[in-house]
Amino acid sequence: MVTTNIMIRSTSLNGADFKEAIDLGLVCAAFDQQVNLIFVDAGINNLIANQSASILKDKNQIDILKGLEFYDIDNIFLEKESLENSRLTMDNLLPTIQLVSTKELNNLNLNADNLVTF
Amino acid sequence: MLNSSHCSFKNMTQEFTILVSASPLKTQSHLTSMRFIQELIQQNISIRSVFFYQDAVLVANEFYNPPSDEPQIREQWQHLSRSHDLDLQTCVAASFRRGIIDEHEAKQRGLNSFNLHPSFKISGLGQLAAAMSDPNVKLVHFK
Repeated sequence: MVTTNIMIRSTSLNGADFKEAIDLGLVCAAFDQQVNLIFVDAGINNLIANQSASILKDKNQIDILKGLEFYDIDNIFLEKESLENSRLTMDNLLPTIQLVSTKELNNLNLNADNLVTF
Repeated sequence: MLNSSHCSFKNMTQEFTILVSASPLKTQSHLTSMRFIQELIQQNISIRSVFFYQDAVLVANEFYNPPSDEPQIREQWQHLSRSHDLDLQTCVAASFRRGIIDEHEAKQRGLNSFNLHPSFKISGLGQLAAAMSDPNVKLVHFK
């Protein structure tokens, strides 16, 4: 099975980066690829569980992440160092995230067939 | 800089697909990716397609006309495509999101005009995903 890693570095407020990363992930999953979503740096902000985009009459992007398992995207990784460098804790974030060290993340990328960064 | 005397892609893979996602206005990714493609061509390595995603699709806007003393990026893509029969695909969703519409879609939506440059074809993410699923195709992403 082909493995595609989608690495998200930018926040949910940075244009369409998050939406377009997820769009690519969904299409790759539909092609029976193993899709790993990897969040690093400011990308951690996409994982905050309690988002209130409705205040701005925007779409709540966290809902997209919650539904990904139905599209066979089960692996959502967060770099441990990115969490430590933020003011967030795991309690603030989506519960289904897997924490990985930078070394583990590098191994994930080395073993992937494709890597696309957003 | 890629130097053919030092860098060989032969035997590594059979085909390449190039993904460009950066705006032509914000980075040098378009120029860099074209140099990479030229190097592949020099080494007789096949390129399945060039796929434009995210802000990179802005280069396909026919009304994108930078000043004459700046790099004419779209003209360079056009020249590369014509010279080597390269397929330049722009993502349909990314294009429509950024106001780049082809003739077919303009008719469907009852619009008076369209602005996709004829050197580019509107394509779906499925085309990119299919290439990524092929073990003989190597994806190189220019961001």
